[in-house]
Amino acid sequence: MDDILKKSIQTIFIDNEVKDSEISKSAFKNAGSIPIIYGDFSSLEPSDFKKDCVYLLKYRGRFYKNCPGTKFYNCCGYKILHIGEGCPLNCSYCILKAYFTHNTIKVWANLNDLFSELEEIFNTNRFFRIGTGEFTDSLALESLTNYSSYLIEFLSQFRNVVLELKTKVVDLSWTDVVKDPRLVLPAWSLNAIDIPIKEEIYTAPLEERLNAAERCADMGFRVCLHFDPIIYYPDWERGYSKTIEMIFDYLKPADIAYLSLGSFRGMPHLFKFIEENWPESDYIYHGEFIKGIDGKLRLFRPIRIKQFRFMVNLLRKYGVDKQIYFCMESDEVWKATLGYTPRDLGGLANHLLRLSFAPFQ
Amino acid sequence: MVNFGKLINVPKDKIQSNGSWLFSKLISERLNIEPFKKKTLYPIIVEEKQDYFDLIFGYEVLQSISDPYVPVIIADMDDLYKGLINLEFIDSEFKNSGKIIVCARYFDKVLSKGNREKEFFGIFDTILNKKEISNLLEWVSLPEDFDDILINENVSIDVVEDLKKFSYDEIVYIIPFFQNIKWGKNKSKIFLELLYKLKKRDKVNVKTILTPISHLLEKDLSPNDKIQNILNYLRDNCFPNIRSLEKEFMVRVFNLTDKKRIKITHSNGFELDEIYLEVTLDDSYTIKELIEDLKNKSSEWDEFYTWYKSKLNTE
Repeated sequence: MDDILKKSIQTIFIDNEVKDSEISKSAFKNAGSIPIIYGDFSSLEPSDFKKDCVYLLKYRGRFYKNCPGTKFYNCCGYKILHIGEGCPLNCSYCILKAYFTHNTIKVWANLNDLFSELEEIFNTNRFFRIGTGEFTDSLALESLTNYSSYLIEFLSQFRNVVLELKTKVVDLSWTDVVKDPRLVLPAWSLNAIDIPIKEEIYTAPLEERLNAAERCADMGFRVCLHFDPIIYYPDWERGYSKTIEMIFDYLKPADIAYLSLGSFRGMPHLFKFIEENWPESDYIYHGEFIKGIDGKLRLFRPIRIKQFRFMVNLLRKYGVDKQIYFCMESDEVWKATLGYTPRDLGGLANHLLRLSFAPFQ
Repeated sequence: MVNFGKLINVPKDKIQSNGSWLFSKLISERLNIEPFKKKTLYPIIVEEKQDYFDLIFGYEVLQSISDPYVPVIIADMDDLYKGLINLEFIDSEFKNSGKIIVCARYFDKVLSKGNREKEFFGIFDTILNKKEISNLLEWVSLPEDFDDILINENVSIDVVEDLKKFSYDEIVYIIPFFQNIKWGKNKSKIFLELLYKLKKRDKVNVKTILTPISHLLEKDLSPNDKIQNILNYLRDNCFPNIRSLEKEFMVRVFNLTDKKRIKITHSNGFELDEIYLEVTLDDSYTIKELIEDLKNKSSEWDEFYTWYKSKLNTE
């Protein structure tokens, strides 16, 4: 199992209800020295669990969900496959830490229920761009659960579904089961060169992420890159320039299916959470934050635009253009930085769907 | 431990009222006000010493008695109970304010260190809610010198939630800002939040931030104006871009309209390109006059809106 996991996970709990699932069997095989406890934990509260544990259980809700983007800003229309919640990577700005006030990482282990639900949804003529990286990192637990491998094997029967795996770790074990690399989009979150060391404790270094992206490109995959959250701190221009330059040491513009930019934002309690738990994370003090129309704190618009423009200009210089989009931004910001709005692209969700399926056209 | 004894008459001048459990008396002294006098049925409770009686409870009643002899109950109780009985009957005005810190200080000294927090909650849970008790506990960890701003109600006890982020050396520089001015809850919170943001952002100490505005405390201004000036200074430093745009927006709006008739506002936090006009119409200012005014100033309006949009898209 991955070294990062060994450091961050203390115990694995497996509900009796899912002890025979493929996910639980993988966990049993891969856990190494991490103790596994079987039992009926359904009546327990998250706070009853030990700190830093993984809990495999049956999920009783719908696995396929819309992204919880608000109507006030342009959402990319990402469809979520809800495979679990929580993340072992411990990034200071992570919104999940503020939402889930416990350190239990939940993995929905009832794969059969997930697959039955998806079979019903995907057996149509429609096209889907789906991803597992909304409430967890898509691959952070892969070396324990092999979740993405099972999912990819299952989804390979559908030619109308592209799966995005969004991560900050390097785990390419899932590539072994891919039949058609056009149907999987490995995606790495990136940040300014200074940020991972300070704010993303257990993640892979940027060079390793980009090296993995290059290996994927060599295997015939196109990759996605996400600059989210873009952080405002002294010397941010240098920090983001370095990372953008580095991208093109590893990738060609054509290797990138799409690339998102999202400014750091969050509900006020996220800022309080960072202040209390990450006293060295001073980026929350550098920005001039306003309460946006969705109630979240975000950088003052002219400063956001300045950062976006800087990055867009640099990315365009390297040949990435129509692949760029903003995560949760207003038409005003789109127009001021890219020169057009999602409507000009026929809607952001449609645009990204077209980009996802571009190799088939 | 409590033991009540007999009811006897004792000479009033033989009763000493120096106990640190006599909260109402202590608070009155700290506020420099006359103690309350209560002609009630509360008993006076004393502890018998070798040649005097030490007052345990009933200070206000004792003040109202002019006779040379007073009926008292002789009792023997430990310091915790002396505090509890006085807390139980403390004036409600004292209970619901920062003055309660006087009681908290007493119990902090009396309680066993091991169980202090739990016992503290047990003592105050009929008077205060959980959050208030936590704040009180936080406050007693600060030096007693700071208590006056609470006792005088210049700030609410909630202020400790933000104050605790600063070191003792820093609080020493903050306290004068609370000493002679009564701050509302929100404003004191904003003051400390802005101060903390500046300290963290610029990696400077609180003294460096506050020194340029300490002269405001001596200025011949109303307390509200002092507070406003202090907050404006900190806001200008914390949010230079937002504040500068806000100020320029106000000046331009002022030059563009008759404020009494047309109010112009921008979207929350300048997020959108939209600006909002609110017009007051009546017999003296009709829609016809409004249209005429807008027509006459159409080029100024265009110029204003062009300026506004350009400011939102550039730093």
